[in-house]
Amino acid sequence: MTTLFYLIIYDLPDNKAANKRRTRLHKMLSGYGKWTQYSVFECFLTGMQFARLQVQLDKLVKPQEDSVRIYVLDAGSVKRTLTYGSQKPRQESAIVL
Amino acid sequence: MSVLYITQPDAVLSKAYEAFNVALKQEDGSWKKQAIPAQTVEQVVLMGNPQVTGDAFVYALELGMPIHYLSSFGKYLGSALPGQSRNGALRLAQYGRYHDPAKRLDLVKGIVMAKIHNQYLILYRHGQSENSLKLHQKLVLEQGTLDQVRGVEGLAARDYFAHLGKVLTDKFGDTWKFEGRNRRPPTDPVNSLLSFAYGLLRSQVMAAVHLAGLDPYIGYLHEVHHGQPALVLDLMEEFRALVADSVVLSMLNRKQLNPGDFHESLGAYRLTDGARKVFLQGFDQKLNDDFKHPVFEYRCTYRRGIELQARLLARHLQENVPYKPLVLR
Repeated sequence: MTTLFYLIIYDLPDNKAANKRRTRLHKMLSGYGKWTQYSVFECFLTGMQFARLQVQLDKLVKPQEDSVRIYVLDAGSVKRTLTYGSQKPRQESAIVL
Repeated sequence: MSVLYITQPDAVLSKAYEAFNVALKQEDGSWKKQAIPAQTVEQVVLMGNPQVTGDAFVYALELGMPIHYLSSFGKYLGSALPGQSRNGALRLAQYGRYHDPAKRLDLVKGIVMAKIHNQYLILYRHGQSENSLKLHQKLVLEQGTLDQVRGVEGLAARDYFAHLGKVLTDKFGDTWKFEGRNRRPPTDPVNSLLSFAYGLLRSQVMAAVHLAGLDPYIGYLHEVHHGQPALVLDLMEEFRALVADSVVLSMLNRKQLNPGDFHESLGAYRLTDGARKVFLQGFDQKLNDDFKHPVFEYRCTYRRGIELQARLLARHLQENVPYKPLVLR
């Protein structure tokens, strides 16, 4: 199954309702990918997984107040990614704990 | 898609909204929590007996993720399979291959050639490069029936064990005598070690076969009869020399075992309890050794290598990806 790299960035305002939404958003994204910066997630997802995520995001995010940006990158762009001070995004085939 | 392995016995796998949480016990007694992107996990393999909360268990099954339980040594204990397991199509492909003489013969030839190659490799590493194994390997290609291939395999095995005996006499004189392979019961210490190692290897391969969703009782090289996990024995061939024989030789070499570690009853040689632990550790270490996989071109442990081969076979049966048995240089 082919996966694409989804870079998900969010910025939610600082009020009580939005704080709650942000926490929920964080927990949701934890289920899909890796948390690499405070409001950045990097996910390798198949089409179906992304569709599932999109449905959930639609329900949670309020477009008038919040801003969520999703960049979709292919394997070539991921390869050319530069990082300073952290590791390059990599799809893990086995997580051993 | 990734596979989640949890090998720490007191880890706890729980669910936190969409994600899994794994709590790992640290040396100082505190717990380290780690989030796992559950949506991208394909299956969970638990070794030892880590805890899984009911929530996490149900969530995994909902996502179509099987959970496999292995003992801490890697023996397959059982699994929880989700409703929509893809098992069916794969097994049909496996049975189909069994009834397809030409393709089956090709697969069997590949396996036998890999086995002979690996046997040659072990002898070569121990300074016995003058032998007929390469000829046998070539001979396999020319065979037209399954039985002929089996015959060549048998001849190669006899030569191999004869040379293995020479390796042992050259190195240890009369300490470790080996005059050919015998079993049920093994009548000398070396044979007893080999049998034990093959048994351990077999449980590893059995686990891998189950993980890949194949039926262990339908094989290609080994005939199907009651109670014989033929596919496991097939897949095992390429690893016998690489893993089991090599671990036995290296443990004898390093003098980790000595002839006093065996006791004899009714003509059968068995390891004493202490020595068995030493051997298990050695075997485990070997499984955790890594090598560069010739097909996937990354380093992996033998333990993972066994599983990769089973998965590769599954893909070969279903999607016609070429199956390359594991041969090392």
